[in-house]
Amino acid sequence: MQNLIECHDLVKSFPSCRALGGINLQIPSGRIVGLLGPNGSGKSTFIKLCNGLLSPDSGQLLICGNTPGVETKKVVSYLPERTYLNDWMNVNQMIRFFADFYEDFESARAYDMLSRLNINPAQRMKTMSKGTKEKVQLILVMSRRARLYLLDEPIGGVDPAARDFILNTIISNYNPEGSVVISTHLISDVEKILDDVVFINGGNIVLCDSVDNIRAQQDKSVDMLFREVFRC
Amino acid sequence: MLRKLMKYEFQATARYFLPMYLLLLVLALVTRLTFSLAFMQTDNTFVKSFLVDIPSVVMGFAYGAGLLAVYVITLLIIVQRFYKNLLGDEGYLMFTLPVTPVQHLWSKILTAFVWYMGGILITLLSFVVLFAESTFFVDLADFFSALGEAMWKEAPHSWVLLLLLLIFLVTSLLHAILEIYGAIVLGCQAKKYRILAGIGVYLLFSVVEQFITSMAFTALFLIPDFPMGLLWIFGYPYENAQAMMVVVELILGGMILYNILLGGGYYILNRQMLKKRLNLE
Amino acid sequence: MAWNLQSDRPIYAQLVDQIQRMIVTGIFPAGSRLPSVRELAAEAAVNPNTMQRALVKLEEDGLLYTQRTSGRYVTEETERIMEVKRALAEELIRQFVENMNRLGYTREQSVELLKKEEEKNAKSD
Repeated sequence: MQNLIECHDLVKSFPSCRALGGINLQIPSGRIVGLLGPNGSGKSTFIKLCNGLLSPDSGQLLICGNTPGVETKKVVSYLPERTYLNDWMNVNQMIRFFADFYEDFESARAYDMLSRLNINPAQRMKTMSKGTKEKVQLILVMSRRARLYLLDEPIGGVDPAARDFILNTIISNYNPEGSVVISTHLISDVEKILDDVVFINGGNIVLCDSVDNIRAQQDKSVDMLFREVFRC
Repeated sequence: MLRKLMKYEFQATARYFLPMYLLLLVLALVTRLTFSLAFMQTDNTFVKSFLVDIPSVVMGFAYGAGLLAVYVITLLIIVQRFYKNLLGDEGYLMFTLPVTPVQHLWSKILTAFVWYMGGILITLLSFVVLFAESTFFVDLADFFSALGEAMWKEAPHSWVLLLLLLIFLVTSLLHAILEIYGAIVLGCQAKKYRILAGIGVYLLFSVVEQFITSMAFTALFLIPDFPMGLLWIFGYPYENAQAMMVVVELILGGMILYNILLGGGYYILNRQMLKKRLNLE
Repeated sequence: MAWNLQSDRPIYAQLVDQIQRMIVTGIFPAGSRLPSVRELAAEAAVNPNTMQRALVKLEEDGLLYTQRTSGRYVTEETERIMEVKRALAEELIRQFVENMNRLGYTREQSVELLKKEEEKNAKSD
């Protein structure tokens, strides 16, 4: 089975720092993977590289067998850490926009999730609170039948009810052909839904294992292990 | 996909442009009404100054300001759309759509071009509203047919000139748009004060272009007996009746070439930056 | 149903325990059809793969069986369920005795205390 993400010696530097120092990572299909690390560890950089928002300095990165480009963007659904919704459309228009550009977008699912969260589809983005915007964005991203979901800090600023909704959406959206990568530093919240965790620090992978292995071998939760590994 | 991108680009910009165009036409209409009042004769100086003179002067200024505003706002919207939609937060969505950076670039270039042309058209239309008499359109049609006939008979070359002028207009617009985009894209390489950096880059571009053009003209004036001396270089019969026309066409051709070279340079710059050095905040 | 997951043990092992408990207490009666993996995972807020692994373990233990087309069922052999129930009870008693030992009570004293507690409850009824 082809890996959804396959990267070898991936290096990315910025003028002021080396964000990724030669990463090797394979993510097969059917997994929910936590990309865990403190702020500034390179999580977002890795996700942006997978989306083609950045180009690697050296090394190889393949998404579903292709280098990031139009073909991979068709099958990757990305939730960035910031809100990218413009201020002049309403939710209905945004749904049409997504349906127009992504073949795998399912409008019915989007409307279903909107009604469950009591969001009015006629509401303009401009008049929404930050939390509501984040929910709309998540709904748009999760309404696609993508191969790979890349969620950058999806539970960063939301309330506990919304967090449960997000986790529930991820679980119920699960399919064996796709994988989900969640980058976060709030580990205890997502730990239960993860198959595997990748600890990343200073642009390098320090640990890559399954959650159950970690718990069985270390007798502690991933959260506790994380606190030990990254103790200040 | 380019078609879809442009559809949304027009949706996003038409919200500003169409009401603005309408406003300019209304301004032109009201100004015209006040002007037509000015032809009414009255002996009452009070009525004359308050109902005729002052409104027509005020409206004249308002129309002039409106005309200027159309061009300033067109420029601002074109800058703002490129900066905000591609290089701001919205860029996270736009650049993860299954669309190439080149398609993004063209969708922005073409919409900007259309709105620039729209600005020119609406200006002409407002002139018509402002000055047209009932016989104006008939006269206009007569004028153009007469002009065309005369050009066709007297100077076949003037068609070439007209065509060159049109190409010059189009390439100048594209050159200007790409120069602005290039400045924005380079300005966004800065970590902070991106807008300021963009303006700085634009000034730098202008200075360099000024330098190039002045150098080119200095070089041209080195040609003996410029501008007619150009003909000698191209081996055109010096005493031909159409010599002057050919000289103008040559210079126009040179400026078109300049637009294409620089515009092409900016295009490559934009394309490479959007492809390889996208630096979203 | 309340799913209660601790942070120190593998999640899948805890899921096995809890589903076992649900079967022996009759929340999932013998012969009944189990919700799908995805539903169970969503309800427990755990990864579907982990839930799947737990269910496979329970199948190996003979508490569940899969019918190829219609899904997963609790076994109809009540024998087997009682066996598991007894094993759970024995485990509880073993833990109880062990804890009482730590407090300094002998096995006989523990049984005596248990009886007294039982009489107290009977009186108050």
